[in-house]
Amino acid sequence: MVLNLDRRSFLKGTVVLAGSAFAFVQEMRGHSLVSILIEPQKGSEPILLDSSEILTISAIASQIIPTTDQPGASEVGVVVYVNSKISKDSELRQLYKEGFETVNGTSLGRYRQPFHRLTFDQQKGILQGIEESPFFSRIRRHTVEAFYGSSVGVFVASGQRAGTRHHLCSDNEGFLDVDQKPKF
Amino acid sequence: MAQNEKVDVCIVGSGAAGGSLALPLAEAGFKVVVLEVGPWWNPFTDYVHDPLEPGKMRWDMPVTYEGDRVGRAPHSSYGVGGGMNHWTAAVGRFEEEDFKQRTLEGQGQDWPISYAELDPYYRKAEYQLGVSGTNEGVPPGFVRGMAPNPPHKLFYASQVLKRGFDQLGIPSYPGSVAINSRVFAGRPACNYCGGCSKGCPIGAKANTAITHFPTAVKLGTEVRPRSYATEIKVDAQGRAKSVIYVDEDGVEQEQEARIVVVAGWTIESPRLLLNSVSPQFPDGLANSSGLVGRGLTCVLGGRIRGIFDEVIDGFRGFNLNNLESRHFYKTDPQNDYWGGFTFEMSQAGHPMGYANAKGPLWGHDLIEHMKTFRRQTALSVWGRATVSDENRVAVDDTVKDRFGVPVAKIIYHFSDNDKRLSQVAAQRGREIFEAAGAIEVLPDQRVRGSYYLGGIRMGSDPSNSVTDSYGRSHDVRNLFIAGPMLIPAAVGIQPTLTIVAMANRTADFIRRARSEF
Repeated sequence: MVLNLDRRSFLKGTVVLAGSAFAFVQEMRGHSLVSILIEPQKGSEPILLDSSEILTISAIASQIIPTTDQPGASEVGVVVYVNSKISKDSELRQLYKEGFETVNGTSLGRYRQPFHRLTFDQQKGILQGIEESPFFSRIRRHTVEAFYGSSVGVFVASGQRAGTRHHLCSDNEGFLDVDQKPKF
Repeated sequence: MAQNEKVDVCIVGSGAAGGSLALPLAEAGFKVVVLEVGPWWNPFTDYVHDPLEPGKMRWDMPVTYEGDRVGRAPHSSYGVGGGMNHWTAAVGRFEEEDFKQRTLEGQGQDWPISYAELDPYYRKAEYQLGVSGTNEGVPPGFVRGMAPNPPHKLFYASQVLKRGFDQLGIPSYPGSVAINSRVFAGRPACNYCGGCSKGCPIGAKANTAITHFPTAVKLGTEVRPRSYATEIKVDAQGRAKSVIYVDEDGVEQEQEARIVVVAGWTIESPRLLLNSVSPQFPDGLANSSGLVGRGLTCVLGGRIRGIFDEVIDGFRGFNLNNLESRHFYKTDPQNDYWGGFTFEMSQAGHPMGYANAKGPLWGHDLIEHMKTFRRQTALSVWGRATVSDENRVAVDDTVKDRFGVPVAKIIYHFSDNDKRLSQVAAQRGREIFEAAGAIEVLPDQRVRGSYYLGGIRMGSDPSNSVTDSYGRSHDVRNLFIAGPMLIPAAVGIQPTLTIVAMANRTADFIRRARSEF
């Protein structure tokens, strides 16, 4: 599939085609050009989320597991993970839709900007206000699953490199040094 | 409905009990058919140690509840091997007092046999499962097992825990597991990958899917996966005649057998009996006592984590029981609670689970918490729950599965003793971690159970039990029950070794009594 992107849409990031197999979103955020390319996995579902939702999920996920001197949620496919969950569950889709409305509604009301354009602390403040909500609880869970379910998250938490069929060590290698104190 | 040629034995369920019965009967020349609701998993492709791996081994059969929930799932794993696909393979014999719990402690019911009668079958089970363990360090007065394989080395995480036990003068020793510590019975030694609960990909962990069924099949047993048993039919004389099941193509089948065995674990087995209604058994098959489903109990569960100053990497190694202590197991009248519990070293788990260990943290709080992932380890609690006939498996009045069969309804309430015992266990665990030098301890706050047991109990009195000591129904002389449902008393350790031992004993009985069937 070929996407014809003109400069304006390139910068404004509105190039998600509904039901397409992948998505590309790009935005100016502060001084940085933020690009989110959703790459399809083999046999994955079409992208149901629009560009605003993609940017919002990405921003919330970066709050839940921020990038520090170690990779955070931005560095893994939280959007693809959420997309695969909502494509199977229409109630969940609705929960997310309502959550985005709440978050962006608050953001526009308070700062006249959508959530993904706020500063880190502004975003954090809004999320603290909805910490107890079912939406936040769910997106937190999905972010944790996407991050610690990825080889990036496994490496950050455990120092181990995941295999293809084993999540904390290379396939069939195991930990024959299990009785030893770790050296680092 | 399609008919199948009559066989000697039809077994519903292919787990620890079903497999441990099928093989000796096949060896004795019985023609056996095993009906398993799940598929036959291929260990080399289907076992994936990934916490996001969808719960393909979870049966989606609905269950309804009244009261408290025990454990995470009302079903054992679905697939040939049953619960042995996901089990952590901790094995241990019950203590002698457990067999006379009613007489000695006023709880549960007495077993209709003594520990001594089960001892030779415990040995068989330990050999069949390739138990790795030792009796060194087991204090006097506690039961001694037999292990064909030497104990596993103590993981570094266990060494850290042992400092705490030693400091408090509490005996602890390598626990027994049905996981090879060396090559045994053609299966490799464990490589400590920690993937046990998603299925052992190398076959080091015992599982009837690899230890029993392949041989049974060679001897003529037929295993039918994706076969869902819905009813047991009786003949005019009130003997079990056949098992009605839905096969893998969705076609209803009838399998006639001289002997029917129900080995479908704690929740579905009483459901099957209660749904098998006939003029001779209007309250469900084998239920003249009214006790089918009653006396449901559980093993109380809990997990205590400790965070240390040093890197431990406690996620290495098999999941449970590399270190064990039964110091708190036996009932002591000086305690303000009845019963007791076992401590087992618990593998530290996966980062995904640990992210929730201190509640729903997020942001930098979560990042800081996750920095302790490598510096923590855990202790698992296995406690005796009280036993009451009010706790039971019934069938639901309104909810049915997609074949129109009423689903199981689990009616269960934890007792005050369950709550007190769980509190005490959490406190003792905290003390052990503090003695080991933990800088922070995270106990399990809830009362919960690990999984269900009981509900179709053994006994010598037909008015107070459903089966005899072989699991043979008092009412239906060619119907047997096999599995944890038979256990009539409370249990403070995993029951699998005992289930395998009992199944071996039942197989011996059926072989001797062959002409009766």
